[in-house]
Amino acid sequence: MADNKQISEIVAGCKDGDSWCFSQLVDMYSHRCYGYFYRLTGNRDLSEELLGELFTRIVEKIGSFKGEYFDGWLFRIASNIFHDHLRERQRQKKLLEKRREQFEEQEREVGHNEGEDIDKLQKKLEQLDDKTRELIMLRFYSAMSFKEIAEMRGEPIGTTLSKVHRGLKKLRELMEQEK
Amino acid sequence: MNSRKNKNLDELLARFYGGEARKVADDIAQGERILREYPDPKPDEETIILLKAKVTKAVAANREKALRRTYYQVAAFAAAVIVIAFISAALLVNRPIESRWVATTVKVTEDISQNDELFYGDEEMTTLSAEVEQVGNEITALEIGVASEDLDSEWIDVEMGLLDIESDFWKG
Repeated sequence: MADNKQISEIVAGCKDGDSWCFSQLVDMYSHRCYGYFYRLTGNRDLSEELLGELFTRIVEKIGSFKGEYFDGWLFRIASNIFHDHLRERQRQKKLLEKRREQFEEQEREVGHNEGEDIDKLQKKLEQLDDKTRELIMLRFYSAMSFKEIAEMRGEPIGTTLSKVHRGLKKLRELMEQEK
Repeated sequence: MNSRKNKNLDELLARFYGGEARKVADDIAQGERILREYPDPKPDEETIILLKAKVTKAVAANREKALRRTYYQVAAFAAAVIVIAFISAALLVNRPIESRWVATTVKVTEDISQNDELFYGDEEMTTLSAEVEQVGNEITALEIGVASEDLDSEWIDVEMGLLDIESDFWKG
């Protein structure tokens, strides 16, 4: 994993519009961000789509990066993209409510890809509520502290701590049920 | 990375859970161990190649947009300088101002500021265009006699407008 100095140099290059530096960012972060999106959506195609959106937005917004913790900055954008996706899905659901057949088809589309091999962890993660799952994934993939996550989500630190604790505890129980 | 992630964690747990802190820390650690035990799905090579191509394209588009923005800004400021110089000279020698020149310059700044959303949210550009347009309208009004009879006062207004534009221009 790259150290802070390396990341700073690459980000400086990105700010100068250097394509090679952006390519380095893709190499450094695409796997982790893909994992983050996949664990939230359970869908590979959708995760690829969101990953593409993330890097496009990074290109647009890199000028606004002020030198804070880069992973935190990047995952804030990733989280916003995921929320945009949720809102869009919600909007589509509302539009389709009156046409039940089309709605069911849409539901199937946003689910897993046909024939996709879903691991046990993914199946259990999907039994957690969306918000808790997102907090757990944010902490796991971005490595932000509870304080940073709470600030980013605009909620009290005790709430974030409690949600993550309860979520991880429930996940462990779910995983142990089938042992 | 882990040190950042667990910064002040013990202190936090003690504050919120008191005697239960150790157990909660253990729940969190065990839950995260499960996440680590399952390998992350990874995007395939083709996806990464396509992603890099997409990023390169976005970088090029961004660069082009920045260049066009600079070009139009320079053009807008040049237009503002021309109108300032022209009107100032006309005021100094007390000769009538050819409103077609002012109108042309006003149109140039309007066209630039409306171009392709390049200046969306650019307050300085909007202000400058508005000021040039306002001065242009005032001069036209004076020439065709629409303005009030207090000509001295009207000219002072025009001069004040020019000073505003000049000041905005040098601020960049």
